[in-house]
Amino acid sequence: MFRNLHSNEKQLIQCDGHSTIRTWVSGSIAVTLYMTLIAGLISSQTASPSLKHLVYESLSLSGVENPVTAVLLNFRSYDTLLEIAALFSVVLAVKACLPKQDTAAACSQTGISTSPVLAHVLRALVPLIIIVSGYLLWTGAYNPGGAFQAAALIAGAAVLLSLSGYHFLNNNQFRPLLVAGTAVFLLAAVIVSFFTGLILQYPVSLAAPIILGIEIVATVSIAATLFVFYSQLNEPDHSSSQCHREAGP
Amino acid sequence: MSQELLYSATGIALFCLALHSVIVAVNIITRIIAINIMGIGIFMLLVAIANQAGQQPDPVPHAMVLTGIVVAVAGTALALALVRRLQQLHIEETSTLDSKEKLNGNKI
Repeated sequence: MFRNLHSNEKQLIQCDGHSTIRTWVSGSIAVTLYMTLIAGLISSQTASPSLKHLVYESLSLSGVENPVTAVLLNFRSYDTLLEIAALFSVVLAVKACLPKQDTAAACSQTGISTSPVLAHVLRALVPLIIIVSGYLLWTGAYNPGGAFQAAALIAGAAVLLSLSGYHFLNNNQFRPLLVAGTAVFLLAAVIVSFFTGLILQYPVSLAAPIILGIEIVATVSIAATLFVFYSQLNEPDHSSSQCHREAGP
Repeated sequence: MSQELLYSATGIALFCLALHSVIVAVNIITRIIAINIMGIGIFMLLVAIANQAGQQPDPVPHAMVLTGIVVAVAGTALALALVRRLQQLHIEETSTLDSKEKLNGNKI
């Protein structure tokens, strides 16, 4: 899988070289697959059974007004719970497969540019990003939005801050944030089962606050998870503050 | 050609193009991006199927696409972490060989 590299520098990992036969075989496979799938698509133009009417009938019982949010966080909340658990398990795997380096090596490899322009722009931009992501989180009940979109914004802000040299949390402080989303969702799922008899069956009058609480904790947790995906590639162990640089001009 | 058919065909075309790229590409990062694009093609197909002209769209495939996007991000993150680890191991391995060759006075 790797070519014979003759230098110590980081090189892009290359796979086995160009083979004309492989290109032609794969191209013909792709074209045949495309024809087959298009034929299947055209021949199945009759209306397929959908659960749309069920969703719109029960929308008032779900606690939110947007049908997609209702499906995600109330009707199919089991899928969302497993999705957050999948994110959590992948963050465990990423932290496990990239070992700790010594702090000096980690600091020298990060390639952080302490540009004053970036720091100055971020002073204005990061609070704005936090406000917009809070709005996205709140408006998930009424419009497209919700926890994942808000978490992606916050993770973007965290990556920008990390690029400008400002490391704000070390390793041990991150761990509760990573666990909180999955843990709170699981706790809510189990606790409501004591009141209504089924797990993840929210009581109708309490559905909106439960959903909002789960979304708030999930936002913070998913943002931390996405940031760890980025930071673990470059700086796996940041438990000491030797790399800390001031983010000011 | 109806709008739904056009978008579904585009989604399937993205999937097939990216499948070809996964098999053929030399650079591994290109392969990871191509796997992502395969997922995006399927999402496009799902959203195109969920739309019915003149009525409210079906929300269940939209929820499936949102879940799928997040799981695709997680899978890409794991793939990139594995590639980074392979790169680190490869650098360690080749630097050991280099130093051994230099000690023995041979050239690679």
